[in-house]
Amino acid sequence: MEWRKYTALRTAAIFAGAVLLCLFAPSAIRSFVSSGFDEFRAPMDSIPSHLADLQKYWSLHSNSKRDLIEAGRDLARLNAAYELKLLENESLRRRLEGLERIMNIPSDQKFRYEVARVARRDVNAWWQRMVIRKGSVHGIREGCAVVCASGVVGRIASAGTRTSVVELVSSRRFRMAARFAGDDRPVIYYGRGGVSMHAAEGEVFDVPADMEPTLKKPATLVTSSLAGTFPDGIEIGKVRSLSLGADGIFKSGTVELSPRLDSLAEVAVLVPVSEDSK
Amino acid sequence: MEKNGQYSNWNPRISVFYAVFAAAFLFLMGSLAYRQIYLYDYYSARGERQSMRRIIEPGARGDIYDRNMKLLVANEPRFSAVVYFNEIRREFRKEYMRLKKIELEKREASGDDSRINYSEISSRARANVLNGYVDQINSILGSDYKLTSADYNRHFENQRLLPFPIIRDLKGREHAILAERLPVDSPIQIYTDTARYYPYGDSAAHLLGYVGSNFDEINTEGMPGDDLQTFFFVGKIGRSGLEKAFDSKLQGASGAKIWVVDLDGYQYDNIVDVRPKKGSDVVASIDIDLQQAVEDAFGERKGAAVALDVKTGEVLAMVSRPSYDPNLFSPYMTYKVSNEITRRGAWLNRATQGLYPPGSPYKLMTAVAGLMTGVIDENTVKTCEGGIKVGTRIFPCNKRSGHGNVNLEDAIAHSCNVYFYETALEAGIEALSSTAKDFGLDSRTGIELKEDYSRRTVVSDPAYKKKYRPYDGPWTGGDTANASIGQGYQLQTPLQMACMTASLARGETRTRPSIIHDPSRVCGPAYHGGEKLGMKPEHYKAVIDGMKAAVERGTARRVAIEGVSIAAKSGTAQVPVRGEKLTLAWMVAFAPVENPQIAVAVVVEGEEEGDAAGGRTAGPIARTALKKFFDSSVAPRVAENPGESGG
Repeated sequence: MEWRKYTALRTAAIFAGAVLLCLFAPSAIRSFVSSGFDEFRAPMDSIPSHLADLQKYWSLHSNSKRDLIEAGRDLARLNAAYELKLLENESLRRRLEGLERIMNIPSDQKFRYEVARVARRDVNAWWQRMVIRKGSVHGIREGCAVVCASGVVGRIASAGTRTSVVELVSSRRFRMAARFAGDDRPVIYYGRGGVSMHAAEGEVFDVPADMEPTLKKPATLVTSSLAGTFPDGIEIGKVRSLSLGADGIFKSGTVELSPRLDSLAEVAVLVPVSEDSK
Repeated sequence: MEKNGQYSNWNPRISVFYAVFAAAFLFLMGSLAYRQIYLYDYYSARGERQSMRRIIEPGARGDIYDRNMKLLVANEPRFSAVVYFNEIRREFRKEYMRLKKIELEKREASGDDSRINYSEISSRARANVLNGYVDQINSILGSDYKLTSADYNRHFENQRLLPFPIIRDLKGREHAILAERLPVDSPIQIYTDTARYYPYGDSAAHLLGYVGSNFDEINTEGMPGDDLQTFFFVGKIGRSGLEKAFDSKLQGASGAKIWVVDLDGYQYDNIVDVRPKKGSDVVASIDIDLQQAVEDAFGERKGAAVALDVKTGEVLAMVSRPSYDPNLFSPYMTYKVSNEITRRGAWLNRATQGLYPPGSPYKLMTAVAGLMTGVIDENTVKTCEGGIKVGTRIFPCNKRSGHGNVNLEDAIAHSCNVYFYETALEAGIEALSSTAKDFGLDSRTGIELKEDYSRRTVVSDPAYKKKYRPYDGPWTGGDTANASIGQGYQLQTPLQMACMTASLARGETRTRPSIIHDPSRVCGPAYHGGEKLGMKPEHYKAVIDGMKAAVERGTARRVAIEGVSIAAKSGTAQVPVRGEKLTLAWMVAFAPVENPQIAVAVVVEGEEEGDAAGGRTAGPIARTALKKFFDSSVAPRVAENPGESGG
């Protein structure tokens, strides 16, 4: 029994030593250990996601030829529509460049879209994060904007080699400068946190007193390009009501975020072109 | 002590000692009991007071709107990057200990045993910590902000409980970048304050006014914790225009926070939190579209214009050029901006403070005086041969070849000086000055603006000359002739001339102008404090017909608008300025003649000899005001209440 006691003591001592090391080790070492652990753990995040993709792939194999033909037809239609949209976008982009040249205004910061699949989600009372399957080798850096078709998803909190952690727009640690669509005045957006099974929400502050959204006609909160992280005008969420603060100057209110945040499979990371070329 | 040959232990002197000792002991015990029991509440309250601090935060100012509820003055957010000292006190302490250790080691090595200056170490520790935060911000923004030791030491000593601004007035981009890149839980916080914002820039700047910092202590009457040590946020106070006149209404109610502080003076518990409240809004009487139209019509010219609602006296537009942009004073006024405005002479509200000889529009007063005294009537004809001799001096007419035979209507229409020289000489200066005073041309109009009226308006008469110009000799006929055409000593403001025009349009003697829009005023005739003119209708009609004729075929032709009957009187007054004879272009008008709604007075300052003339220069500006009024939505709103016009 003595050896058992000795083993237990040794385990406790190792644990205490590790805790002390974590507490008192220099920050550089701690940071190195943390990022090393993240890199070590990254495949664990990716593998289930890849397996899920594989599972889906095999499940699709069970579809009948008819289903596949119909899906192929639908896809062809969508592709045709998207090609038209691409042409339209290209035409608009050229027109915009022409106008910028004529008016001698600096061009907006350009971004490259790096599409990444979502590997894991941590959406609970503590964390509002997701892990995506792309990292620094794809040009992704900390602070890059992450968007999807429904609007803002979040910002890159940390970028590993092949995976990155996204701080979701609903996180309490997420704050950004924003504006309302059709209004240039700056407001501040904060994530409110929350738990799954509940629509993600945020809060908007410093809203001018004359903004009056209604339940039927909500105001759309969009990104501001001032900070350079996001392009201008990407939707953050909808605001249906605002309440005037005691000072009588600014209003604040709840921002309804897209319910798709909970079920995203793919997102796009906006990598600034200038940063990407470095 | 020896008693009966024996020594006794008892010494009477000891009893005295015991008594004194007992008394002293009793006194001490009594004092202790007095303080501990009787004065318990007092000391308890004092102890609490010593550990509590109060912060007073002024409420935001109310907004100012125009009569159509367009926002003229508002508050806009002003962002600063701040830190609260109590949130970084641990860092202060850590840095202090580090510096102290270095200092002690240094002294030990050098054998220096002089006294350590702990206060200096403490100050350096604060500097290091705060500069660390400034560096953090600089690295995020790519900027080069710096803090001076005076800034944070003063704040630490005197305003420890208030947020310390590391960077004031963040630009939009800086604010956005910091909001996104600073961690949410960083000790650096983005503090949102407000600054006054004037969406229309320099439009109506003199009327709206501006604000300045209020370094006087805010009124804390009725607020909790009146006996506590108090810290004040700097508030704003109106310095001119509506901001000053209605300061008490616009000022918000201050808020108060009472904090319990620790021994080092850092707050740790908020026990009272009364939120500040925004001040009341003010609705100005001006129509900003009309105001801007008149300002545009002025272009680069100097001068003033006032448009009044004839019935209510509400000011529809009040223009003073050159102007200034009050946004440049927000959040504070720099010497450079102030000097630039002084150099351009733009501080003066020419509409209410500018004193000008009224020139020919004053002939209307001469006409009224002549008609009231009976020296002329609507049919009186006088012969103008280009001038008359009064005393030894020839007083010319504006038409050197003469107007020939003119009646009152033609005399007003063509602004014949001779007609009015003769009328005034016949009626006498007392009658003329009395009429002008009845119209309030020698007194303040009563408008709510609290401006500096250190220079007074003048209706010239013998009493004035005797009192203020004795070195010019006694009153002469020449003085009367000069007064009859609004020259000589006469000095009026454009606002007074607008009031005179509005009064004449209503057939009354006074118009009390107001800068506040009160919808209840249009419901019934307003009382302006004057009387009915008391003229025969035909006499009154002759004056108005003369003004109408001036627009139709006389000197005010440039005011004419198709489809609107307008009565107007132009004028070109001469003023000697630094040896040059400059001219002032005047135009007064009201319309429609049959149901007057708007009265306008315009004066344009000439800057070179002969570059300004009434009809030519001021006429188009008056026309712009009238046209905009009748084209816009203002006209129908004031037309609902047809007033009683006529004499």
